[in-house]
Parts: sequence; structure tokens; C-alpha cells
Amino acid sequence: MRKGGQLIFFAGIFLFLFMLSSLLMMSNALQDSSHFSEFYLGLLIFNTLGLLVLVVLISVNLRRLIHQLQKRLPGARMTVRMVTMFTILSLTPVLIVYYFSLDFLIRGIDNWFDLRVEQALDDSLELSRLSLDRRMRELLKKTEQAAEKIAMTPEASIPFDLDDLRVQAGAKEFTLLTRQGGIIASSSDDPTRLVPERPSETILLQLQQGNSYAGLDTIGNTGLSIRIVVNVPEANITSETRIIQGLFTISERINLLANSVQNSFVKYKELAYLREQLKKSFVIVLTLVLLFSIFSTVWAAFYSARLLAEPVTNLAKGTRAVADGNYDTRLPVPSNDELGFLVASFNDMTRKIALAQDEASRSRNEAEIQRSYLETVLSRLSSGVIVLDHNSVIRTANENVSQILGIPVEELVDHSVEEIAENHPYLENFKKLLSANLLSTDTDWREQISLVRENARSTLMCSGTILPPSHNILQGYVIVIDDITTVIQGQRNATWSDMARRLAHEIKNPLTPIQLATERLRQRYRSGLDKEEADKFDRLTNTIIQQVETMKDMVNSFTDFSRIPEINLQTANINSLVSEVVDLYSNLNQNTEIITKLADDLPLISVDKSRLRQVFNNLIKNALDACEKSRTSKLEISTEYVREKQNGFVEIKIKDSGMGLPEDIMDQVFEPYTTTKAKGTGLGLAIAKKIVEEHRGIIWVENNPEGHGASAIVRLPVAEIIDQVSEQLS
Amino acid sequence: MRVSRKADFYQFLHPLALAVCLALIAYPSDAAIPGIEIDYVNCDLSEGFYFLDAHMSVELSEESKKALIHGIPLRFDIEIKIIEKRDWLWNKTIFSNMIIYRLSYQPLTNYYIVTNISNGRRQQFFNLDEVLDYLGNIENHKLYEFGRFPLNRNYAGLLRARLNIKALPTPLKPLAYISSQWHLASQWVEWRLE
Repeated sequence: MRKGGQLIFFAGIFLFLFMLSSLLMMSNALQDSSHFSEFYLGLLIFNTLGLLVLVVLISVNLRRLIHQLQKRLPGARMTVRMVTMFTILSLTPVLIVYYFSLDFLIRGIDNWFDLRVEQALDDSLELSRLSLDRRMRELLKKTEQAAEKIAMTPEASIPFDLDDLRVQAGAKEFTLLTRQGGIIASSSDDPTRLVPERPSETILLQLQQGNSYAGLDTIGNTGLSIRIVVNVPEANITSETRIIQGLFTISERINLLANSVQNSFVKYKELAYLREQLKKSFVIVLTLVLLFSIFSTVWAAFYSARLLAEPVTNLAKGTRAVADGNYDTRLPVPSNDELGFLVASFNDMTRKIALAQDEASRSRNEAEIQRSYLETVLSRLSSGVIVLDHNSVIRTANENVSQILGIPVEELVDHSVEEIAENHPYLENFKKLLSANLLSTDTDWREQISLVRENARSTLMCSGTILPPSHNILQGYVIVIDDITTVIQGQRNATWSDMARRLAHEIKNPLTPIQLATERLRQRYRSGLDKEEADKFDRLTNTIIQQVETMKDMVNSFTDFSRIPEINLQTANINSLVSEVVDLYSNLNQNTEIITKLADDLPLISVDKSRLRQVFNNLIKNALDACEKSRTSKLEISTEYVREKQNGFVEIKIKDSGMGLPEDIMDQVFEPYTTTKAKGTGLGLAIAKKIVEEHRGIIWVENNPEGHGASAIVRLPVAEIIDQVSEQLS
Repeated sequence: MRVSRKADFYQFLHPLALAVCLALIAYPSDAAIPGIEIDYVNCDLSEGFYFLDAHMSVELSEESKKALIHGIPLRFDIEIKIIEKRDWLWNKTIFSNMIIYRLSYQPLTNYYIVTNISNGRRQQFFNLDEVLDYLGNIENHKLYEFGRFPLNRNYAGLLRARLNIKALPTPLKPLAYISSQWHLASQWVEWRLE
């Protein structure tokens, strides 16, 4: 429970107790005015204010509840139901009790004032009056007789006779007074009583008017007494008018009864007068009790409903929080009952969900790390890797696949092999390979295929295996593709190099003895021959020597091809190298028009100048040879700085006007002993390619698009850019 | 001795002036208005003591008469205060006295009994007018001896008489507090003390 809630709770309890106490005090004050009657109005005001406070509390709770209902907060409707139920359950008996209590009370009060009782009391009072009147009349007669005797008594003997007259009349006190009230003589049965009781001015006035007075007086603390005052008859005209007052005691019994009757009468009259007020007061108190009960109950209903609804509300909020993904929600356990058990179970559940979520998140992170790791490994692999599902749709492909197949990854992933082959016809062999192997029952397979793309043949080694079903692929296949074109080329080159070295070794060794022997043979035996025979002998020996020289050249070419490269890199301007070679051929071959288009913005690159000269030499020589058969002999040599992606190249293009290359040998022109010329070793382009690749460059040939001639293109990487790229990669 | 009423109360009378006039017209001219009016106050120094004389017109309401006849005693409080007027502080009460009368009706004898609670003296009267006349007369009421308080100060006397509602029976109190029939009280009347 919050601190504010505790404060309101205890304030409410205090208010309840105070109001209960004040209502009890009010009830006591009504029943017996000696208790709390002085505080009656204060208690009434206090209770009214207390009720107002309760009304305010209820209004605040009601407003809050309406606000919660409008906002559709969890627990609001439950609170409404509980408050309504509590209120109805408590109101019904309280209202019934209130109705009957009020009825009984009003009827009871009315029954007190029965007409017969009232009449009896009136009669009792009247009886008392009559009884006392009769006594007073008797005493009046006695007093009048005493007055007549006084009138006849001489002045001097009056004090003595008055005493006798008092005793005869049975009076407590006899006093002779003047009409103005002056005391002439007095006689009393109480010797301690020095000052006689004087009649009031009203009585004197009545006597002055000639009337007698007889009445009940309360004299001192002796209870009721009868006071008789009469005029003393005048003895003669000159005598002073006097009055005599007699005080007579009433018997104690009569006095007691008269007082009792009077008190009862007064009390009854008082109650009769206060009847309506009394009823109103009881109704007020009873209504206050009713309102107090109702308001207290309603407020307690609000409070209890809130207490009961709070765990449920918290549960609803907690459930919503869990639905929103907040698994750290922990609810306060309200009590040790079933609701508390439910909340504890909820907390246990959220804790377990949070643990499971953490575990799942950890697993997901680990899987992500594994995936990243795998992607990194795959991206660093020289092999291309693709994953196919059971419909031959590519699910995963690494970057190398796009390089090997020449298709961006985006065009591969989520496309079937058939779709890809339709868009890229050169992949027909690849499609056939996959279709054949995916349908077979072999779990692992490995096959080599060749693809011809843009006049370039590449050899791919494909191996595949079946993947076990996973969560998103029923049955998949992983295909590993290796571009072994370079490897095969290397192997082929190595084979050729080895063979060339062996040939050179085996052939070159006997050639020199053959040449020397032939020369010695010609020198030794030529002189002994006639001219015709000598000429024939010279021609034959020359042929041997010439052929031996040719074979030596061929062996040297083999030696050059098979030699292990020792590159001596120097910074050079390619334009200068090209110009040097072109100048050489311009002087030697006047029949061919050689055009140079050298770019001005070529960067300096590191090359082995002598070996690169050999490359240009071979290429220009090949081009010139190709131009020999054509009618227009024209050679165009150009250089250009090319940027592709982040790589920069110096491109050297040697374009001839010859017959071009047949398409069938286009992919084999760089292989040793491949030539279209009658003469030549077929090693020129092979050596050129070898040197270019030693410079990490590329070389290719293509037929000119205008229809005649071919072009040899060399691309050499620019060192600075290569370094920058290597830095970025690191 | 000059009699003055507290001026503060007059400002409240203006809004009610019309209502009062209408009430006067509506009532018979000889009908007395229920309430207590202090007609005069006199304070004399005699034989070394201050004595108070005052006259008040006391008229009971019909409801209070009815209650009296039905045996409910009425209590009248006559309050007397001597205050010291101060320029910068609130007035200080230096002497206070109260005369309390209890008026009841005796059905057996048809007398009205007036008892002075202060001294226990009882008076009985035949009719109510005599009672009210008796209650409205203060004669030679001894206050205090001369020189009891310093003479060089500014003193004033206050007098008020009222029917004490608190002394009524409990069931009657709520009605008495809200009904004008039971609000029988005079204003505080001030006189200069010499």
C-alpha cells in the first residue's frame, strides 16, 4: 500500500471512530440531557462535517473511477462491480432497519402521549387544586374570624391575643400589618424566626381593593404553604385600616403528593411540547447514523474494491507489459492467499520467460556471430559457395560466386537455377550439371565444367552435397564452385615449361656439335669437290647450319618460356616503353602505317622494363604479321588510364587491321604452340601472357567490332591504387 | 450617563430596513416585537462602590411563551463587563459579572417563578408582564469598589441581556439555534465609566 493510501486509510478510520463516538454522544444527549447536552450542537455540526468529508472522499473516488472507466484502465469495471455489489449488500439491510426504526420510534413517541394519560394528569392537577382550594377556603374562614376578633381587640392587647388566635387557627405565623405593609404585630410558632414574611406588593394592592387573598406560596425551603391575607374590619371610622396575614403549613404528605403531581404534569407537558422536536431530533440522529453507515460503507467499498482490484490490475498491467516484450516485470505479492499465489506464479512465469528470452537472445547472437563468421569465411574463400533448396532456388551465395559466374549476388539469391540460366545462356552447362546431380541419389558429387563467357573460357570444378533439412529449407544442397581455369592454365604452362626445358636441354646439346661438325665437314671436304659438287655441298651444309640455327632459336625460345621469372621492377612511364618499341618497328617496317594514341595522364607504374619491352615486341610483331595478308596494313597502338571500381589500370591496346582470329581458337591463343602463322614457335603470346601475369596484369585478345582485324589488350595495375586498396582491406 | 450602541451593528441593518418597515406595517401597532432592548444604563458611585441601574424592555416570542407554559424553564443571562480601552492593543476586560435568572411556570399555583441563580432569591408573579418588568429592571447592582483599578485609564462598561439557548432542553436546541423566535438578545450597550 502506498504512503498516501495508508494516510487516507488511517484518516478514514479516525474519522469513522470520531463520528461513531459523536453519534453515541448525541444519542446519550437526547436520552439524558445531563450528558453531552452542551455539546449537542457541536456534535451535530461535527457529524455533518464528517458526512461532508465522507461525501468528498466518495466523490473523489467516484471521479477517479469514472476517469479510469473512460480511459478503459484495467480493473476499473471490476471496481465498479465490486463497489456496486458492496453498496447494494450493505444498503439493503441498513435501509430496512432505518425504515422500521424510524417507524417504531415515531409510533413509540406518539404512544407516550396518550390522551387518557394527559387527561389523568390534568385531573390529578385539578384534584390537587380543589383539595388545596378547600383547605384554603377553610383557612380563609378561620383567618377572617381571627380578623374580626382582632378588630374587637384593644390595641394594647393585640400582641398577646394574636398569639392565641394563631394557635386557635392552627397557623404557622400570624402577622398584623398596615395596608401599606408595615408590620404591627406578629406571632410565629418558630421562635427563631425574627422577621415575619411580608406579602408582596401585588397582594397588598389586591387587599387595598377590598379583596382577600388566599394562595399557595413557596416560602423558604419548607415547600408549599398557604398564604391567607384578609382585611381587618374597621372598629370605628377613625381607626387605621389593617390587614392580617396567616401562613399555614400543608401536611408533608399533601405537600409531597402535590409536588409529585405538579412535577409529573410539568414533565408531561414539557415532553408533549417537545414531542415534535424530539421526533425531529431522533430522526436527525437516526438519519445521521444511516448516512454515516451508508457513506462509510460506500467509502469502505471503494477502498476494499481498490485493494482487491489492485493485484488484478497489476496482473493486467504486467500481462500487457509481457505482451509488449518487457519480461522484467515483477509484481508486488499482495498477500499469502490465492491471489498472492497467482501473482507469485506470474512473477515466476515472467522470470522464466525472461531467462528463456535471454537464452534465445544469446543463442540468436551466437547464431548471428556464427553466421557472420561463416559469411566472413565464405567471403574470404577463393571458392564460390551457393546453397539451394529443394526447388533449386538459391538461398545463399557468397561474393566469389558472383565473380566466378559473372552475376551479382542479388540476381542469384531467391532465384532458381533455371531462371538464372535463362537470363544468362552461358550458364547452360552449369544448369545441366546441377539438374543432373540434384536428381541423382548421390549425396556427394564432384564434376568439372567449362563456361564460355565473352570469348573467355573458364573451367569450373563444382562439388555438391545434400544438406539435412533445416528450419527454413526442407532439403537443400550446398554447391562449392572453384574456378580452376588459372590452375589448369598453370599446370599446362608448367607442363609446357618442363617439356620446353627438357627439349631445350635434349635438343640444344647436340645442335652445337652438329653445327660445328657441319662447318668442319664443309671446310675439310669442300676443297676436294668440283664446283658443281661444291655448290651442292655448300647448299646442303648451309641448310644444315641454317636449320640448326633455327632450331637454336627455337630452343632459346623454349628456354625463355621455361625460365623462372626474375622480375626487376622499376618505375617507368609506359608511354616511353611503347614509344621505344614502336620506333624500332617504324624504322624496320615502312609498309605498315603505325598510329600511336598515347594518353597524357598515365601514372607511373612499377614494371620490369626489359620484359615488358618483350611483351610489346611480341604483340606488335604478331600484329604486323597479321597485317601482312591484308590489303590495308595499319597498326594502331594506344594507351589509356582506366578506372574500374576502385582499381586503376594502365591499358595498352594494339589494334591491327589483319584478318582477325578464328573464334574456335580465341580461348587458346595464349597457350604454347598455338599459332595461325606458317612460321613461328607459337610461344610469343604465351610468353607475353606469362610476363603480364608476372606483373599482376591481364591480357586478352578480341576481334575488332568493326569487322576486320583483332586487338591485343594489356592491363597493368597501378601500384598506388593497389596499395590503397590493400590498406582498406587490412 | 450617555448610552451608545456599537456602531458596527448598524451597518447590517441597512439591507434589512425595508423588511423591518414592512414588518412594522404588517403587525398591529400595539404588538410588541419579541426581543430585548436596553433602554438606559446608569452607573453611580455610592459609598465607595459602583452601582448599576438599568432598564430593559423584555418581550417574549410566542414560541418561548408557549414553551414556558408547557413547563420549559427559560434562562436569561445579563452580562456586565468593564473594559479598558487601549489605543494600540485590543480592549482588555478587567471586570465581568453576570446576573442569571431562571424563569419557570408552576401549573399548580399558576405562578411564574423567577429565581436569581446568582443569589438564590425566588420571586413569584401572577402574570407574565410583571415577570418581564422584574427581569428588565436592574437596581443598585453592586459592581466593585472604587479604586480597585487605576484611575488614569480609559474605562468603559458593556451590558447585554439574552435568552440562553444552551440552557434549553436538548431536543429544542437545534430549532432554537436556527429560529428567530428564540433569538432574544440585546446588543452590547456601552457606557462611559466615570
